[in-house]
Amino acid sequence: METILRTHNLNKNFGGVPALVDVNLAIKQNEIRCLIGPNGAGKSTLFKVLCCLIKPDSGTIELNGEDITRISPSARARRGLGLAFQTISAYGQLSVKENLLIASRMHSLTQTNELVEEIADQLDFDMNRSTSASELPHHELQWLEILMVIKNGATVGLLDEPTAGLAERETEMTANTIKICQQHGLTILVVEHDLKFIKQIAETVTVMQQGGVFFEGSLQAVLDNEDVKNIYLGR
Amino acid sequence: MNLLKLFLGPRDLGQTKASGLVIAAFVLFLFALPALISDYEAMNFAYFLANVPLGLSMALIWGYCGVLSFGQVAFFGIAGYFYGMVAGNMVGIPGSEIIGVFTAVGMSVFVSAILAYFLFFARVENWIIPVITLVFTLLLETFLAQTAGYQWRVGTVLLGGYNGMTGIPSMRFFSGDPLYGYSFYYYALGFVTILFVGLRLFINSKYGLVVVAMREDLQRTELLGYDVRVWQFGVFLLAAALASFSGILYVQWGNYITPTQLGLVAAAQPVIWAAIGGRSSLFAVFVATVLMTWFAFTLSTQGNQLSLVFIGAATVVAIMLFKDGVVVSIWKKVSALIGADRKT
Repeated sequence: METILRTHNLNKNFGGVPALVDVNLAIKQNEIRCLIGPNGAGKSTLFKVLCCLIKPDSGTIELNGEDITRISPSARARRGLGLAFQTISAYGQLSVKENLLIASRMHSLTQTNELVEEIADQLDFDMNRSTSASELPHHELQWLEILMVIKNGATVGLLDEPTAGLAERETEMTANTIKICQQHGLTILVVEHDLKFIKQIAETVTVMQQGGVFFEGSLQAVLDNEDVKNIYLGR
Repeated sequence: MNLLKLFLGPRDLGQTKASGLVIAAFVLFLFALPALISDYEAMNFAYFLANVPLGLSMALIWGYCGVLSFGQVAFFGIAGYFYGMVAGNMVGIPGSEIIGVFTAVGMSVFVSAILAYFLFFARVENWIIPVITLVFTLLLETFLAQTAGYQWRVGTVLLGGYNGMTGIPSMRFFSGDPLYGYSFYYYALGFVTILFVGLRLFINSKYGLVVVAMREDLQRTELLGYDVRVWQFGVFLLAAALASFSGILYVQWGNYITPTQLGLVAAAQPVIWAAIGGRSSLFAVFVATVLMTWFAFTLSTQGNQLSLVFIGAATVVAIMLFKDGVVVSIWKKVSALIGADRKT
């Protein structure tokens, strides 16, 4: 499989404190990759750098073989990079329907629409509601975030803790959603803490620590690795 | 009809046919008003209408787009001065007033484009925009105030320093009579109605949705693939064009303009109208602009030296009591009582 998203020696310092240290990632097309690591490991910073919310000090980002390090956030989105935030940021004052309409950028792509319909059915999510997003229950807001990213035409979805605060059943449904995305050819990079959830979706897991990639391998290899255990237990 | 559905869209008061009738009734009342008042009073009333595009421009840029601009009166002033220079140099030539109108709007939009380029493409932070636009307005006022000498003239028209530019031609269509009284009232009302309806259709369209999305969350909108710099730039120019229509109507009404029109007090006026009416409703700002300018006009024509103090006090009280604006709050209360309109 071809590499769709690649970073090369990404570095970022915040006032002398290293947040990213020589991060080299290669995500293959149609892969589901989980990113784990203790708090402050640099996972969210990495996502922000990928979307250009933060500019890296050095290093490059490639999407589909094109160097996108210097292009704007909106141009990256138009090239298929979509971010669902950890802190919910759907437009609270606007209706569910309007949120999705904005995400569609006013053009409707048949392929995207079919996928969005399928996911909404699976989640039993009514997309034509005029309920404002701020009135949705927490789990539906999380799903709206994901639906917006897909509706936006993303081919690579970056999901920052999509199951934070969800009940077990809802977490399972989110996992199914991500699998459906994969079946439709999307590539998903997801930051997560919930091991049960990771078990349901991940093939490869990347462990980050202190701003760098610490370990990469299958979930079982990660769980068996003594050093990874030590990071998490703080030893 | 699709246009009617768009007009009654979700981003202004009046989303059902019944509540849309209230808006229609308000506009019809303005059209019928001359039957009740004299020619002279109609001319006074036209002044209140002349301010409406300025109010609408503030609703658009601040209420809908989330960018507070104190520059709207600068675009008002630029248009007023340019209309005076162009039409004033072509007195007697049929159609010169119309050429003046187009030149004035064009110059205002041109200047606003330069300002907007630096504001949005340099990505200055949102809170700093009111400061920069206010400085811009006050610089323009200061510049115009020192243009008193004979050397400050364009053709035969003097800029006039602090006394301002006088003898600006009234509006007239080709070789018709200059508009005054009833005829000017209907001209202004027609102008304002077209702008109001057009702007309302725009804001309820899918483009309007993007404008509101930028207000709600600029960063999110950018991450969804919209080049927000270009969008904000465009909205800023549109708002400048609206403000310039007010400037033109104003000089055609009073035949003069002074730098005071671009001063600190003037710059605060449209902000007050928008805040009192309810800045995220075009209709509310329309009503508030007419009522507030009428209120200020009535106080000052009765020789009340403290009219500005009254306006200021009323503003503070209104904003404290009605967070969403007086007109919007009353509308919501009444429609909740009779169960007519869904909430906006």
